[in-house]
Amino acid sequence: MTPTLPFAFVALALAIPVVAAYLHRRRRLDKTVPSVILLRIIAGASRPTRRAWSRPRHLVSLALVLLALIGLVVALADLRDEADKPRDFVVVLDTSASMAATDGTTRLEHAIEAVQGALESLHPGDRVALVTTGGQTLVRIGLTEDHAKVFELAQTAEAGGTSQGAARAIRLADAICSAGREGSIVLVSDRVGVDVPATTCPIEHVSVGRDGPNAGIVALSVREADALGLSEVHVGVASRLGREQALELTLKVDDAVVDVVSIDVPAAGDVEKLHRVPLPPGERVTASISHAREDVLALDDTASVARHGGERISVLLVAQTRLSFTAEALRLHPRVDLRLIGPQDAIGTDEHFDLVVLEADYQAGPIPLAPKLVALGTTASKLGVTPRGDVEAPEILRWSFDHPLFRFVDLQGLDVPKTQTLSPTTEQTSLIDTEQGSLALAGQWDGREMVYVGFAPHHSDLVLRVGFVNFVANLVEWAAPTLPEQDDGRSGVLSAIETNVAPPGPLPGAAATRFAGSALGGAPLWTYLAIAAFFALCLEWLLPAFVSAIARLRRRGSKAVAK
Amino acid sequence: MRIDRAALSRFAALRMRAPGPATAMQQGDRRSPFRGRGLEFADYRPYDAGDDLRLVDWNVYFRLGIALVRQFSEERSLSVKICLDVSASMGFGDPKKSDHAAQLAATIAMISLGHRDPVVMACFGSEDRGLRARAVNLDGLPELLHMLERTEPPQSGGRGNAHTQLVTHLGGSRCDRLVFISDLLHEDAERQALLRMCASACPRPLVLHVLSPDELEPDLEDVERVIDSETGEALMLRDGRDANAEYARALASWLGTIEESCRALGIQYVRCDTRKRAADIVQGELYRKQVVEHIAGGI
Repeated sequence: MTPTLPFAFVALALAIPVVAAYLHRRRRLDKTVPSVILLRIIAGASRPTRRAWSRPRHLVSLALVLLALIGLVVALADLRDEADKPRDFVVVLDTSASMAATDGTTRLEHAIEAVQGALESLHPGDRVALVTTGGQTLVRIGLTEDHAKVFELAQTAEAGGTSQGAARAIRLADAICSAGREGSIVLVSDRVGVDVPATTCPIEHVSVGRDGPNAGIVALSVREADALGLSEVHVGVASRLGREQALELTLKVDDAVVDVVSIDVPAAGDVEKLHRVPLPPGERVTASISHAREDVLALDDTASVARHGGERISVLLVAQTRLSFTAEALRLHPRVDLRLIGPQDAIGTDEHFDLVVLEADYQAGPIPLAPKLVALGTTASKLGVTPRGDVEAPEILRWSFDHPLFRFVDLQGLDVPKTQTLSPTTEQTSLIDTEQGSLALAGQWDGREMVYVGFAPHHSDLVLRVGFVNFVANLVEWAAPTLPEQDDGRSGVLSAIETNVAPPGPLPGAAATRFAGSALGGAPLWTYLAIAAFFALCLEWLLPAFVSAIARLRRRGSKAVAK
Repeated sequence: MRIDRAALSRFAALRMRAPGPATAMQQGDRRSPFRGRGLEFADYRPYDAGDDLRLVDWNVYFRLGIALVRQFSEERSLSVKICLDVSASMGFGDPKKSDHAAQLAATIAMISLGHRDPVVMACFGSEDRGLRARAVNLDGLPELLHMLERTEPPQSGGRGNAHTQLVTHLGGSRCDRLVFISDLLHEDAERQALLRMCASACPRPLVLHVLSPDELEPDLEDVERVIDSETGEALMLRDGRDANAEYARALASWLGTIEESCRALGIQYVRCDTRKRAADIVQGELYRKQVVEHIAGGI
């Protein structure tokens, strides 16, 4: 216990005159009575001393006044528990997308209200810092006693992004908290996707939000399916709607509606849809779903991605003839800068390509530089591939349809009259398997990524299939240099974690004990004591007057009735 | 003393109940022990010279040859005396005991005079010689009320010789109904003498013992010394919580003694708390004790 104003106890000296006044409170000395005949029985021999103590009412009165005095003095001294000394609170406010889930009021609004209630209940000396985590992890304000400013900044928070930065935000808050005086980290969150790391300062958790039905887009990607403008839109939808439902998926390119398709989603689970649609030119593809009934989180009902199809690649094709199927397919591809040479054509040493496609053995020198190399039926030994022998009309048993080159390329029943089989080394991976051996493999050669196919496309019926166009498109996509992640500041695809808005189990750390409004909302005990003292004084001073007033009214009433 | 005159008009249906034959000289409507003119035949007596011949029963004379005179019961009024204590002790209480006693006296006088019962009202207990007034019918009521209203108990001081004053008022003539109104705050011997005086004044006297909360539940909070308003005697009060209980026991004993004395002397005793209205006491206590009765009978 520590008084903030120790000198206030000097006021206790007032108890001395109070007690003295009660001790010296004298009776009226005389009272004239009709007759003393009846009073002789209670007559005493001499004047009594300290008669005031004989009256219980006086003792109660004195006790009330002293109690009130003590209460007022202690309230003035503002006696505090050691635990009530000023503390630091670093508030980590979760502003991830899941905090936009609403049940009339969003979770973020609930969180801000909780922060406001707690801030109002803090002592003036308490310092508060605010860290928000969501789209970005930001220290909005460092430790400050200006609680109003903290609340003002908390009000500006908007829901968005994922909770993946929560751990970083908590570590940041831990650093702030550790640098200050005794304090704690207060995580105001809906617990969705929040990972709490180990911290030095204790963590209190103010939980907001309730579970509710929700469905949202958790995956969206667009790629060009072929060279003719067809695009593939891949959409993943996560559903926690509680019942099977058909959602309407609307695809837009730069605000122009391109297509509307229906997606059947389960009661709880994920569903993916690959939609091939010709997309007009545009920078961004937006997908949005519409529900038969509203869900709790609208933020994940829309997702958008930028179209990264505009990068051109340089391709060197070495072929025996200029009129090969491969050459024509590459020439028609809008993103390909094709250079077609014969096996004897020399290439400058300073020339660089994104992709080299060999349909014939290059004999004019070393194979030109390119990070990606595709050989189609050339001499295997030159590229570090071990041939196994030639076979006729092999039956393809398996192919790596998940390899980038074979995406949407159906090799089932492919007719290859004659091809060479390969034996992949430990560093090489077989892409197409037959009973006789591998027909294609992937690996590294001369520091570049290489795919070797044992036959030329025009030696099979692949060129007559749609898969050939896809193969060429895959070739371009595969060879295209990887672009850095671009953030144009617009909404992307929300994480599946945020879409699952159901709050998980309790987080490590205590539920809010000191920061919560209910814990600190109450005034100190001494404030209550002061109020009690006030009522005690009122009771002492007003009650006798009140009783006598009632008696007077009753007498007046009886007189009026008598009249 | 103050009297609520408006309250007196409520008692027209009541009259004083006669404890025995009425003996007032005034003609009335109550049976009396006197023979004389009347409507109700009472007895025969031998004719004496000078008797009214109209009273001779001639049928008896012709049949028996004896001259007998018919006698009738006379109807007289009930003579009522009201003795009111106006000593200094009656000036206490809220309302004052004297006001309460005056209202009771006025009410009884009103009831009596309403049925032509003559009333003699006397005040005693003060150092003055005492006031006395008489009325035979309602015409005399204002004089009685005026006497009550101009009489006030003294603030303090001697109470005079109540016994002597009462002898003066009651002596010489009997009455049919004596109403003695007092707080009886006298020493035991003096009180007994007063009660015996009352008992000898009429066959069935009535004592209305007026007590205020000052006696029944005295507020002795913060009181150190008490002074008698009449004698000036001062007493230091004993301290302690038992004082109130002891006083209550003493009061009960005192009241019991008075009631027992009245019973022994044939006196009707009615305790009158000043917190209870005089009208309620008359219509309640006095009616139940058959001091007054309804003119239509019944209980």
